[in-house]
Amino acid sequence: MKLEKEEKQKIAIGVILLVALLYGYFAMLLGPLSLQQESTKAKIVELEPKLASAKATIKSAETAERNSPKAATALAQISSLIPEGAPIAWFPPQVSEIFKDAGPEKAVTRNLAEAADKDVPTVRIASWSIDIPKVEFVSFAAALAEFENEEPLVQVTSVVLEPARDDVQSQHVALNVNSIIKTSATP
Amino acid sequence: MALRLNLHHEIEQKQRVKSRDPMKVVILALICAGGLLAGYYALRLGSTSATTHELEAKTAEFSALSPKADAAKERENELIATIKASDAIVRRIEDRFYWAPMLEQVARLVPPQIQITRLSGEVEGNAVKKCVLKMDGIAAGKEARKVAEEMRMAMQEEFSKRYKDVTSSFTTLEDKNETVKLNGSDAPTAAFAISVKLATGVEVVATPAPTRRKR
Repeated sequence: MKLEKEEKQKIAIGVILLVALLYGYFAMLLGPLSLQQESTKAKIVELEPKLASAKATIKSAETAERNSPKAATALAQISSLIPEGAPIAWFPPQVSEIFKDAGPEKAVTRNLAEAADKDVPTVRIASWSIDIPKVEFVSFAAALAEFENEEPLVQVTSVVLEPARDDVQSQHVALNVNSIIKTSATP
Repeated sequence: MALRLNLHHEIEQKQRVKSRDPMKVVILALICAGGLLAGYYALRLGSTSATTHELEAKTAEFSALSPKADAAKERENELIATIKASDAIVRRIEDRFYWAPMLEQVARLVPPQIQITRLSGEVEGNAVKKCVLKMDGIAAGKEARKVAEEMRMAMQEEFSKRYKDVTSSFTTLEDKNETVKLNGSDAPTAAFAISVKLATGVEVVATPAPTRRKR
C-alpha cells in the first residue's frame, strides 16, 4: 500500500499530537501528582516517630503516676520519723536515752557536719560523734542493737572500743554516726 | 457468462479511502490512549488523596497529643524524681550496716586465753558497704601464737557466713616477755593485731540509656 503525501502529513501530525499528549500528561499531571504523593508520604514517615514518642511519653507518665503513690507514701512515712525542730535539740537526748543503761556515764553527742543528700533533695545528712566514757561491753552491745533497730535513719559509720582511762574493767566507746534530717532543719 | 458492470466503483473507492484515513486512525488512537491515561491518573489521584487524608489525620492527632505529651513529660520527671528519692532513701535504710551482730560474733569468737585491748571498725560505701575491723589484743598460753591464729581463722570462717569478700590478716603478731596468770599458772603471751576486711550489699548497676535506632 502506497501512502500519499497528504496521508503521510496526517500521520506525522498524529504522532506529534501523541507525543504532545504524553509529554503533557507526564510533565503536568502525573509528575506533580507523584511528587505531591512522595512529599506527603515523607511527611507521614517523619511524623510517625514523633507520634509514637508522644504516645510512649504519655504511657510512661501513666506508669509513673501509678507507681508514684507508693513512693510518696514511703517518703512521707520516712519524713514522719524525723522529729520537728533543730536536730541538736532532739538527737543527743535520743542517744543518751538509748545508751543510758550501757554505763554509769552519760553519752556525749556532738554535731560534726551537715551535708546535702545528692540522691534525696528533701533531706540532709548530719554527722555526729558519740562519746561514752565508760561502758560494759555486753550492755553496750545490747544498747547498740537497740539503737540500730529503733533508729532506722541512723547509720553508725565507725566504732572504737578501748579500755577506759581510769578503769581497765570498763570500755570507752567512740562512735561516729550519720543521721537523716529534714532539709529545713539545721543542727 | 454474463458481463457485470460496477457503476459505483468510484463511490466505493472513495469510501475505502475514507475508511483508512490516517487522521481518523490517529484521532481514535489518541482518544484510546487519553482514556487509558485519564483512568490511571484518576487512580493515582485517589491514592494521593488517601495519603493526604492520612497525613491530615496524623497531623491532627499529633497536634492534639503534643501538648499532652509535653505536660506528661514534665509530670513524669517530677514523679521519677520522687520515685528515685524514695528508692534511694529506702535502699539506704535497708542496706545499713549493722554493728551489733558483728560485735556479738566477735564476743563469741574471742576465747578465754585472749583479751582484746582495742577494737575499732569503719564502714564506708553506699550500695556496697566495705568494713574494716581492727582488733588489738593479747593471747596467752603455751602456744600463744597458735591461740591468736585460731581466733583469726575462726573469724575468717564465721564472718564469711554472713558477709562477703572476707579477709582476715595479722598486722602484728609478736611474743611478749610478760607472762599472765592463766588457770592458776604463768603463761607466756603474744601481742597481736588483726585486720578483718569484709563487704556487704549489692552493687546497683545503672540502667543504660535507651538508644535510638537509626532509620
